[in-house]
Amino acid sequence: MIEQHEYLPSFLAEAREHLQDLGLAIVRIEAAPGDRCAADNVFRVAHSLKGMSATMGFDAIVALTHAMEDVFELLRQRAGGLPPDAIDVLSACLDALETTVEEIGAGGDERLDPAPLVERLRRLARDRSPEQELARDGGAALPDLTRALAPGETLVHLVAELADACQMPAVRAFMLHEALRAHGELLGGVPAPDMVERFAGRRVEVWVATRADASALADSARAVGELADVRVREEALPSPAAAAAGEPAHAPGGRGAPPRAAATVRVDAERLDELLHLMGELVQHRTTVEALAAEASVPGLPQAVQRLARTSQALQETVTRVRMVPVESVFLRFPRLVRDLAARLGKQVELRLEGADTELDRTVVDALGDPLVHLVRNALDHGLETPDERAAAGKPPTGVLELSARHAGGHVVVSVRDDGRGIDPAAVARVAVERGLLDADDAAALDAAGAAELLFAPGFSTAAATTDVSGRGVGMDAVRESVRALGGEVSLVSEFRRPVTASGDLPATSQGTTATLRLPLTLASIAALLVTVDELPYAIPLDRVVRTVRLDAVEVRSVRGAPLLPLGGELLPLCEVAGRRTPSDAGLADRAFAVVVNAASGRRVALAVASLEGQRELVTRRLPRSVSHRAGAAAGAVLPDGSVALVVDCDALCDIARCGRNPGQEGASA
Amino acid sequence: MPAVDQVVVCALGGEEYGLPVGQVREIVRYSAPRPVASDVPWMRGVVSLRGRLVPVHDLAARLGVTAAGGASAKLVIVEGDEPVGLVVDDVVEVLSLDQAQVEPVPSGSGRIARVGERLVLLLDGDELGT
Repeated sequence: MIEQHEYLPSFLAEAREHLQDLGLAIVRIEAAPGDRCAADNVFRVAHSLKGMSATMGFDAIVALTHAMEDVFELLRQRAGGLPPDAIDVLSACLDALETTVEEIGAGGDERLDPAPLVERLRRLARDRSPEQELARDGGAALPDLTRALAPGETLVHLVAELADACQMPAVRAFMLHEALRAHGELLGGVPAPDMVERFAGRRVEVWVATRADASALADSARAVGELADVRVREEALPSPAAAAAGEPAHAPGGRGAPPRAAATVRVDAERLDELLHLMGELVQHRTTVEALAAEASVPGLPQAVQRLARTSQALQETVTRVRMVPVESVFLRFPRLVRDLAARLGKQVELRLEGADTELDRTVVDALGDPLVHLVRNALDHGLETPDERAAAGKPPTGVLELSARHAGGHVVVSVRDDGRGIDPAAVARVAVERGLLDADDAAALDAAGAAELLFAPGFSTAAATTDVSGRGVGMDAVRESVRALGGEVSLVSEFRRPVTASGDLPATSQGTTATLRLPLTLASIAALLVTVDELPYAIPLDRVVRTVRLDAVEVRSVRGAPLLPLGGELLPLCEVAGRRTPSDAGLADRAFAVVVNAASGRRVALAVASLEGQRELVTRRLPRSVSHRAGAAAGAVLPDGSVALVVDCDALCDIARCGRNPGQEGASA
Repeated sequence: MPAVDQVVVCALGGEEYGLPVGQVREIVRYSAPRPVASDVPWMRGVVSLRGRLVPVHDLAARLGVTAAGGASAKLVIVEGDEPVGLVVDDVVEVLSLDQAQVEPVPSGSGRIARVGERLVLLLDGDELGT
């Protein structure tokens, strides 16, 4: 086994890309079983993965991808498309590969048992051509790259297809090995060099460490005779020097990379973050220089500063754009997920993807996946009905699930819409009362909006209890929490009508449910209102600010010691930016202003502050983990003078203000 | 017992503490951290270290000594799950220690190095980073 860790990051990145391609190919094959191009893609991906995994010494992945490659080589040549169960087998292979790649990525071992999948793959091909099922084993020996290549040596991968007429594959393979040994050392192959006498297959693969030219090896191989085809390739091993320097070790065009890769460079995500951080600092320094230049009278300085500003702005825009990726990369995992889940639940679903090319900051795209998976699962599990139920409700048997993304101002809106049964307020109320979240009077008055909000209440749902009742609800509080952590918000809207009849038991009709995620375009910078409290700076996200009020112009009221701000007939809780529920012991004496902000679910709170410093564009920084949730801070930001401002988490503050002791029970009072 | 090699010796409350060189990322002049609520009793806030927000831990409070404070105070940034800044009165020197100089603390856990008349309590940055 080679010193893997040097190459592991690039292996993982490439493997994930290939697996995504494989997922896409499966979706396409399912849509059109005769799609030759998609079958070719399966073959190509399997081949690439095998090569990569072989150089890394991941034997099980090699064994599985080798079988995939073999079987699809056969299948793609047949007329009439792929066998019907090919999709299932491929999906199982993809799952297994994804799991093992992620395990490897998490620092674990390769824990894939390829045998059952290899058997299923072989069965795909068997019904048509039993002769292909000849024991072609002989084991695979993978190149052992602990043996570092000597200077001047290259690793050559040779693939020879035996001619159909070849009667004794083992002999040919042996001759081939001997011919190649003349050029260098055989590091491994399929069959393994020491197992060649048992070989009964049609294809021989060898990895050779050699000083000779790849073409010279090919010539020697062809001289062996009875070979239909010989292909050689120098394996593009990442050079240890480049890896040590932290270069993304990637050989574009090497291992059957798709053509689009040619014009792109893979960059470590952390470097992009670093680039953005440095960019943020540059902007801050520029501001300082601008301020100093305004006081100095050096000829030409203002022009120079202006040019500096222009260039740095252009640079900032470019850096921001570099980080943008289409939301498609998240959407692409859904065709399979929806297909698998629908099959398991016995439902018919048409998945529609809209706005997949909508671009988002990479950090947002990465973070979007899990909440979205949750919403889609909920929609399938609880929202959409079975074909029978749909027929009974007068709907077409196939339900529609639509995932869409679009830009809206400085935000991106991602929604998950289904045309299922919707959220039944009566059913939600029943569960809420059972769980002690609602008393009977409130339950009777619960409307659709209140019911939707209740689903986000922690403690509302446990998977077992709500499956058939709510139409929604499993882990929605977790979804809300993770979306809020991104500075976004999630809401549910359900169009639900229960026909009023004498019998009262007619099926409810529903337009379905839409879950809407509203997220910032980027997590990296925000426009904020800078304020101070106790001489410490706080940044309030500008898109949350409704208005500012001078506190000497209003009479602050108090209920049970908690200050309330009367504003336009409304009483808003007046709270502290620092997360405490009420202004500190010093009272409100030094608080000159209140900033009214929008928080989750249309609520508003007023934040008492000492001064308003103005609007700033701030690059946000992650806070250390040891910062308490009670701090009411979503992030930090470094100001030009080097001091740190806390970015106020309006939703968390609202929770603290509304509920005092326990922010978790917010939903219950809806 | 892991081999002791070189340690960064810090002065704190009239005593000396040693941190393995390999765990010290850098040493910067102390600047007052930005206070922020935390569940960690000795966390005093955050500072910006080249754009990254690093928690500042009051090492004296954690060890139960009284820091001298003053202009020579330093922030020792140690590696851990995430970097943490430890407040010390000063950084004295980097010492190379022989295994023979190291012995267990007579009363209690940990290890101590005798360097002539000096006593240097050896700290583990990994533990302190949490």
